[in-house]
Amino acid sequence: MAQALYRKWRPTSFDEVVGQEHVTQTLKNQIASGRVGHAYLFVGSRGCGKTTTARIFAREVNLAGLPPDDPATQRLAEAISEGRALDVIEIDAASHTSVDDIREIRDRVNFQPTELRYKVYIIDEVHMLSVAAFNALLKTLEEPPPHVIFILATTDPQKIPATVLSRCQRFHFRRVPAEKIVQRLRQLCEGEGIEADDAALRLIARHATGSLRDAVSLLDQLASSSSGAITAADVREALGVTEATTLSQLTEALSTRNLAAGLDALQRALDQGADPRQIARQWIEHLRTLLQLKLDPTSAVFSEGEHAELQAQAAQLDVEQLTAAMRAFGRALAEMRFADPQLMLELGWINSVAGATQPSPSPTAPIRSMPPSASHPHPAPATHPMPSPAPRAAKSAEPAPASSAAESSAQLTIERLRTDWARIISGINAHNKPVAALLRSCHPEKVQGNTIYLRAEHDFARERMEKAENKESLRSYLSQAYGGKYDIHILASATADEPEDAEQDPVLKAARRLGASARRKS
Amino acid sequence: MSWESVIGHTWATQRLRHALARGTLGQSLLFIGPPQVGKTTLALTLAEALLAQDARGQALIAQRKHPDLLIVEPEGANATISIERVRELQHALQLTPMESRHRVAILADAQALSLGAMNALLKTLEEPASAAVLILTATSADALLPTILSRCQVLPMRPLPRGQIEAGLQARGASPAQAALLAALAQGRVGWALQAWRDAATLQARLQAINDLLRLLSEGLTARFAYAEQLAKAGDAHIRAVLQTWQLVWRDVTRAAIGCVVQAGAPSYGETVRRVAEGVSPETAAACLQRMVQTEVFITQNANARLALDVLLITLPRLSYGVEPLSFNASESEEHRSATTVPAGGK
Amino acid sequence: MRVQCLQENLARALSLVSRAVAPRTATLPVLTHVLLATDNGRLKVAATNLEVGVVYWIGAKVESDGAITVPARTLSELVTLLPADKVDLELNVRTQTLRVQCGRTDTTIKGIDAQEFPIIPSPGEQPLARISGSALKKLISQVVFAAATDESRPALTGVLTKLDGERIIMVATDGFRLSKREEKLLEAITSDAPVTMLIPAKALQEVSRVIESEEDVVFIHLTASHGQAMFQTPRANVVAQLIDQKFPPWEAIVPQRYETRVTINAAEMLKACRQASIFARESADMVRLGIHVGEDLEPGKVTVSARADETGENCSELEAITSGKSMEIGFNVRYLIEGISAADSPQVVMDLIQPRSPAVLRAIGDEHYLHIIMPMNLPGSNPT
Repeated sequence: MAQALYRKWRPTSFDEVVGQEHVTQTLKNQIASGRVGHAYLFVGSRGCGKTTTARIFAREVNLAGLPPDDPATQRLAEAISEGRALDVIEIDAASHTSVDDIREIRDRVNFQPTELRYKVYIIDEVHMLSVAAFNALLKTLEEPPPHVIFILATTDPQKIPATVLSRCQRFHFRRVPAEKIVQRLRQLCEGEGIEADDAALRLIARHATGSLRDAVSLLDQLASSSSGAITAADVREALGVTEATTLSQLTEALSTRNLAAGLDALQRALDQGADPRQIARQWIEHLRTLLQLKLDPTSAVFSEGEHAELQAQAAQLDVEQLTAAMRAFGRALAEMRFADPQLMLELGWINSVAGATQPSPSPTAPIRSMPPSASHPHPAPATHPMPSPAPRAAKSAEPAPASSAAESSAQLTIERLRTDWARIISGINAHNKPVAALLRSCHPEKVQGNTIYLRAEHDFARERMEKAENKESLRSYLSQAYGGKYDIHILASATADEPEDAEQDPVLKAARRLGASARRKS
Repeated sequence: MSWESVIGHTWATQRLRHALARGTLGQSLLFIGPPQVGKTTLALTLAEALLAQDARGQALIAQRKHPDLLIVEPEGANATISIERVRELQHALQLTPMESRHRVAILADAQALSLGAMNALLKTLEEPASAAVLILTATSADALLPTILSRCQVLPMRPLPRGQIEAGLQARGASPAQAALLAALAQGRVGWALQAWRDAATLQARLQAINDLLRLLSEGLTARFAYAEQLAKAGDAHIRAVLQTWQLVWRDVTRAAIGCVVQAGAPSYGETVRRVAEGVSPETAAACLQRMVQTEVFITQNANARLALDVLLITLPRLSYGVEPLSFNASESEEHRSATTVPAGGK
Repeated sequence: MRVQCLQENLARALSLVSRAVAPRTATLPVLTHVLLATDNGRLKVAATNLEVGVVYWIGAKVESDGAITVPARTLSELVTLLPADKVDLELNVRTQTLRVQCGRTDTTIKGIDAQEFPIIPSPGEQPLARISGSALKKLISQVVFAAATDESRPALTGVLTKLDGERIIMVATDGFRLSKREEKLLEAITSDAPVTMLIPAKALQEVSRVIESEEDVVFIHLTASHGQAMFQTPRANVVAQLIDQKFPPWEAIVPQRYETRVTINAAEMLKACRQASIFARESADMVRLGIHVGEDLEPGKVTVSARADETGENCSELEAITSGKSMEIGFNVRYLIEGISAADSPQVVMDLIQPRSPAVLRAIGDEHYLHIIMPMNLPGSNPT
């Protein structure tokens, strides 16, 4: 059993923290000049060193002025670094969101530190606190006892109330640049006796997207399981990414509109262990590069050989084909969360070829926009398209059309919703904390009739809010609060579903033709 | 439950065994793969390697009753893992083991952890007690907090090739014909294949769904709508299972229609796929496949099941000829007949 | 298995092991059971919740050997209702059921195979140390209460137990107070190097329960894997899993000097504290202690006061022997009450340095007990 490398190699001094010199220098100066604040907010994406820096700060601020060589000082330093000092308290706000949790902290800050100068509270993921908990914390931040320092850390400063923000010194942690990650990995490799190619380390660093912990974790994983030196191929295998040849085969197949060749190339990549999501991401990235080259042949910087190869690939495809393929795979990637990823990947491929072959009225979903009654341009000999089902549908249920249902409860406006949003969340928090936590990551986007569109900040929140019981919880709260019945629609953070999408959906379209109105089950 | 008895997943088992032998196994592991692909089995096999000291220990692990093995699974109406369960687990994990040198916790379907539970787990994943090993399984990395991912050693587990499942079933005593058919219908999910092999009802349900589809292909709208009405009443879980089975078959039909290699495995299944594909254009096949997936997504998102199924069945092409239903017995007798005439692996 | 024992012995055994039985929500059903097994002519009754295991032996007439587990609750409830008579226990191996016969009652209980029951290790040949039952009981009662009850810092839910030469020391802290006691072992430990272990506070409470007589001698063992500590009395064995965490460096917290020393009657002080506590609820249980050092031969005094904006206020004045300088200091009243009660002495001494430094409580005439309480920040006295 081995201790994780990122834990073993966690920096223990400001100078070892990678890529955050602007923060560590300021903190060092504060300690040296004795101007230490009572509340800090560390903001930055995951794995870039927030908690590590907080621990180092807790140590340095408490050891300042003590004789460094004294065994007692060293014992304290070690205890703080190992996280077992009584006066350095780490709290994970995400699992202590309630006001009671914060009240407990508030009561306890009154105790004097046992042996250190300062009692340091490190509160991680602080954005997860409930509104009431923030208010409780605010009182402590307003008049902190002189022996207490709070360090709040978050990936999401948007969600911290302004009243809390204004009482903290704010520090922004940056994503760690790839070359610094490579340097650090190199250091670790030397220290641990791990052999790794430069290309492998560069690939790891690139995939870590600024998170040093991600990078070290991956290196750890590779080192623990491979027998020889770590190669780029090992990294690709672990990440589930495919080789460049898959991409050039797909390009070739796309240019010749050879569905079978493309599917076979995908199958080969999957058989070699690549992950459907990674393939889709890589392929989109590849298409983007080709598009860029097409629009500006001198743009990207590649090696000579690479440039020529990509140039040749770009020449095979027109802009229309490239964008259609990018759209199709973007969509497939988004839908992999709900359906079999491999199937979505293959459908993405079929759609990119089909989309480029036959321009369709609905650019977002080429195949889906084919008439549901299957009146196909090239019907196979033995296929008999279904007759239009209109007569039967007219007989089926006759609910009011969607638009009139919308008019009946239009009193809730987007402005109202936005103004009341925080209150709604705290209302829901009273009886359903998980949903309230999710809603903190969703923002009212628009109200259309009785349909409310919320924009989720990340896929996680969206996926969770899509769950029927979670939607229902919001829906019933809104019904109680504002009267009327509402439909909730959760939008993805950036590219995916626009609200108009629903209108373009073939099921709904077909349904309209069938004379039905789309209703969600409740 | 030895390493040798794990079906497929040689990449993953080799890595785990290698790390075990060198003492470099991480304490926080995450197995990611689709449902029933063998994640929990691999986790239990690793647990056995870490915990079992004798036959009694092995038996207790197989029955999931070993005192140093903690298994947490989704529970309750919402099928979630609550923060309380995580706290219990954390309490146990910081104690020294009872009988072995480790305490192993398996968190099955970690995507079902509540948001608070995921966050509460971070510290344990990052700084586990020295004897603790945590094995998380999940169906997709996207469903977990990125902060969980970066604290674990991740082992991806892909659906298995049909051949591996077939060989694995035969090694456990299934007849060649049984093994071939089960492997063909398993979608790479070895767990499903084993379950279907032991439990005839599981296999029957899937065969039934396929045969319904084959029948509907040559039926008119009235019969199709009647079927949709029936199916819509069966509940979302059942509808999704049927749709997934249809996707499995139709994916092969589409591939056959397009002219790709179809590794059908069982000759009877390959023949069925080929028969359907003969009557469908690649475009129609693809459009229908897309609709099947979309319908499943709609059902997952609580759309009106009846309506969604109606539209799907309208999209389904109509064949001018009937296709023989797939049956278990037929496939067995067919095997001898067709072995020489139809090359295994479809068209 | 075929065994005969006395109802009162069986009832006692079941009661002593009962707190080591896992709750009914436990993931392993066998943990809600008790193990009944013959063992060298005696009947062994055992329970474990994977944190602490308790084994108790009773005298029995063993006709044939064997073992089974049965639901703890069912068996306990039944046995307490049986007449004070001989109880016959008989295992049906095929059905894994236990037949319990007593007087005119005949009961059959469904069990689980004893193979599934976790192995509770037996003590080895040579114990690590021996200690008198009364000394161990006192150690536990004066230390365990100071351990943390919430699990956010697992190390603090344990009691640091150190055996060194002829001494045993137990320390517990929740971060706001610390309790320590030292005792003499009956002879030096059999290990060359000192042994340190972190034992769950709950497990030590069970140890205290099975010490039936002050005269009992308790053998302390450590398992070969060093993962478990065992406390063996003449009739029982408590096996505690250890907490696999590092305890904070506690020695540094103990003050080495004092500026003010107060000696006070414990009973009077407790009474004053309990009164003040009524008015301290609103302010996080904080009470204010005023230490007034008397001039020359005048006696000193201590005031204990608390106020609540809504309820009112309370102040008690006590006579005390004081030396050094006068001061005001805030404490959590609950911690004061618990620390003074545990001292178990008519007179207690409190050593203070200043309002922001740890306070030390001791019992007069018993230098083995040491209790440290962190003061609270008195409102309005912040030095800026």
